Order: sequence, then structure tokens, then C-alpha cells
Amino acid sequence: MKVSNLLKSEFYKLVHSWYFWGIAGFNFLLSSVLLLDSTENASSLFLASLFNIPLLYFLTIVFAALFVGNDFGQRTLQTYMNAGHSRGQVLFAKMLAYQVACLGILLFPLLIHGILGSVCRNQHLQTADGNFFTILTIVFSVMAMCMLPFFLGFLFGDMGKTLAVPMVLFFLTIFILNGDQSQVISRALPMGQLRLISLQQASTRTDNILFIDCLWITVLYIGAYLKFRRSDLK
Amino acid sequence: MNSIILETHGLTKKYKQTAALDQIDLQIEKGKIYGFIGQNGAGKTTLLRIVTGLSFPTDGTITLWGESGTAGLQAQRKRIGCMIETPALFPTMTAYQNMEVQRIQRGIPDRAVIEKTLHMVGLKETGKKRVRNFSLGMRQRLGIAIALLNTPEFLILDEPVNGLDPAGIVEIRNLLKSLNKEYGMTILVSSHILEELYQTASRFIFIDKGKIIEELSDYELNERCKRHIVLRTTDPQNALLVLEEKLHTENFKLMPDGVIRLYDYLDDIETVASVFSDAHILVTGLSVSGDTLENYFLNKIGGNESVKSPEK
Repeated sequence: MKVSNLLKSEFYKLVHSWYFWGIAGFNFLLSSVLLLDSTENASSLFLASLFNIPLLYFLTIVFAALFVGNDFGQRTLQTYMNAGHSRGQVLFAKMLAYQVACLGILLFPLLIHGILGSVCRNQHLQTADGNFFTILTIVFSVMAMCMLPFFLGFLFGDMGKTLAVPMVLFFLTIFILNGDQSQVISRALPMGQLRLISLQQASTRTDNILFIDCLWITVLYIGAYLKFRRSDLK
Repeated sequence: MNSIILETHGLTKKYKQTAALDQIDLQIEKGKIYGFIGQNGAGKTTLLRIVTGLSFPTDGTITLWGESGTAGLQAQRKRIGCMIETPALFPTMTAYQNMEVQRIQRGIPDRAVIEKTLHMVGLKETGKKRVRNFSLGMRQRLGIAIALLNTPEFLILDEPVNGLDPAGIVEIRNLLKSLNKEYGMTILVSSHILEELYQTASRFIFIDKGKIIEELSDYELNERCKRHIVLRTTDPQNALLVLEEKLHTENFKLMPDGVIRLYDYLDDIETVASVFSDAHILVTGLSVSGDTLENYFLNKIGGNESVKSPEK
């Protein structure tokens, strides 16, 4: 059985799901509203929009609960195993579709706001590491950040817990990032990294941030695989 | 040609200290319809989950078309269609879209198979109606349609007529029979109601407390459930002559333990007794026996002990 079939199937589900479009639309709306406040903290519309991404992270948690947790709950993910796909293939396809969706949800407003800033206000992204690496870092930080609800989705195999546990962790992280050690902790946590980039306070080198993000992604992916590969499904 | 589709040896599944399956040895042969009967919690679904790759055995082996091992079983599972417990459906999608997801993931190139299968289960006219608005019976039909999408060689259905009205039950029963006849499809249907499977299956597997307690053909089941007079005598050979000559019947059977089963004179047991008395044959036991399907099943699983008749 081919992974490409699984990927096509996952993207078909994504395109035909109301919640993906609903969450993406709501995120764009909320991001645009929050932009009114965050422009005071950042030097451009792009960075102001980036400033809001950690706050809007909760929407991808909701998405993970529906796209991953609910897939377990409704036993629709199980049909892949019934059809003879390996669990490794299923996890990979699910992760890829999920990450593309999360990037779409969180980065679409960033793209639009960046274009608006560039066209209307003649603002350009100027960073020490160059624009390409900054964009790459943002992409990897968002992926690493979104990997946590995905991992928990496979750990619990249930919509309720996939929603509740990351939500608690989200609020805890916000609490920690507002503490005394926020600068140090921010470098280790993708949410914090995004905030540092938006405020142009990322003193750590981009490749270090990329390494930390890749580490998060790898560890959480392996964790999800170890849980999923021999688990009994409903 | 190998006619064994599924084979298990010593298949065991334990949840902590509880054995959901205990040393199951089973063979499913090609082209037959199997009824898999057991009470709720007997281990039916656990076994089906292992066969379909949703669960892993604690011990024992499982073989599909002669292949075992993780990769071998995975490769063979594409030849299976199944519905385990409730149908796996996307409530916000239509019936067609639900089928399309499954068609894509199974890599079936022909889209026309969706219409054909929906027509087969009587869901062709559902149009844009979303699955969340379907009745329980319609969902069940769609689950069966998904299981049939790849025209499987081996169809596994776990309690497929749950929620169906009597007409729907007959329809599904006829559908299963025609699939078996036309495509030679091997079918394994589980249920906790023997009567439900009686008219569909050609072989019956009884499971209780994680163990296979009996496997028999429809003929054997009929024999065991048929009402008859149990006749015990010290001289069975002469008793058979008496039955033929005095009672003019050939509708009897001599069992290996010497007991005679008489299928006539069920309402006239006194005549039988007097004929043997006149022939000076000592009758040591004479009684009417035979179970309804329900009683037979309950007796098998020891359920009659717990089932008390209502007091009047």
C-alpha cells in the first residue's frame, strides 16, 4: 500500500472538513484584530503579525483535537490499518497533512499582513540572519510548536484529552514565558522563539534555534511513533 | 490451492490479568459464511480486531492466506473488507464523500465503484445529506458499503444488523448470501443472537469467555436443535426393528452412544411406550428433547443458569 494514497486521503479529508476552514478563517480574523495592538510592539506589520502567533496557538490545539483526536474517536484512522497500511506510514501521512494544515492556519495571516505591510507601508523584513533563514526559522518553530498537540493526540487517542492537556500546557507556557527567566526559556521553547523573533530580540543564532526546533519535532514524532506502533485501537 | 484464509494457533490476548482470548485455534475456509456467536464480552470483537490489525495478540500466531508476521499480515489485509463494532464514518461528509476517502486510501482507480456499492446497500439516493443526519440503520448500511468497496475476498462484519429494521435485516442477509454466491466471498459475521445468523451462515463458531467452545455446520446445528424423542433401551437393534415394523417410521437415528432419536410421534409418546412394552423391550429412558436456537446457545454457554423464567 502506498503512502501517496494515504496523503491524498488525508488532504481530501482536510479540504472537506468544515473545521479546517472555520479555524483558518477565525484565526485570520482574530490575527487581524490583534494586529491593531501588536503593531506597537513590533517594527513592521509582518513582525506584528508574528507577535500574535504564540497567542493564536490555541486554535491549532483545537484543530489537533478535531483532526487527530477525533479521527481516533470516530475510528476513521483505524480504517487505514484495516486496509493494510503500516502504522509508520499512517503516522507519517497524518503528520504531514497536519503540519501543512497548521502552517496554513498560522502562517496565512502572516503572509497577508506581510504583503500588506510591504505594499501599503513599504515595510521590509530586515534581520541579522537574512530573510530566508528567518522565514525558515519561523516555519520550523511553528512546526515544532504544533507537534506537541499532535503527539498528545496519538498518546491519548481521544478528542477530549487532546484538547484539554495541550490547552493547560499552553497556559502554563504563557505563564512561564512571562516570568523572570523568560529570555532563557524562550530560546528553548518554540512559542518563545517566535516571540523573540517578532521583537527582534533573538540573540541566539538562527541555526541554534533551528536545531532546537528539529530536536522538538524529532523527539515528539518518535514519541508518537513508539506509542502508536503497538497500541491497541478501539 | 490453499483453501484456508485465516488460521490462528494458541491466540491469546490478555488485558492485565484478564484473558479476553484464551488459546484460540481457528480455521476459516474459503467460500463459506461463518457465524461467530458469543455473548457480549465473550471475545468476538477482540479476535476480529486482531485479525484486522487494530490490536496485537499477547501470544499465539495468526496467518492470513498463509502469510504471517507484521509485514505479511499487512500485505494480506488489503484483501479484507471489514466493519468492526460501529461504522467508521465522517459525520460532516456525505455518504459519497465517506466512500471517496476510503477509495482514495485503498488506491481503487475506478470511481464508479462508489455508486455501485452505494446502490448495493440501498444508499444511492442520499445525495448531499450528511452522515450526521443519517439514521442508525443508514449508518450501518454505509459501514457495510465501505467494507464492500474493494470487493474483498474476505468480509468481516461485527454485529452488522444492529439498528436495522426487519426489512433491512432481510436485505443485508440476502446481500451477504448473494456476495457469497456470486463472488465466492468468504464472510465472517459476528453476533450475540444465534437466530440472526442462523439464516445466513453455513458454519457456526461459538465463543465464550475467550474460548472457542464449539464449531459446527448448519446441518449439525439443525440436528441438535430438532425436536425428537430420546429413547434409551437395553436392546437398541431390536428397538429399531420395532420402530420400523410396529410404528412404521424410518424417521429416527441411532446415536453412537446407543441412544435412539425418534423424530415422529412427538405428541404421542404413550403409543411409543406401549409398543415397546408389547415387544418386551426394556425402555430405560423416554423423553422429548430438542432445543430452540436460543436455548441451544444458552445451554452451550451455561447461560440458562443465570436466566430465570419470570414468575407468574
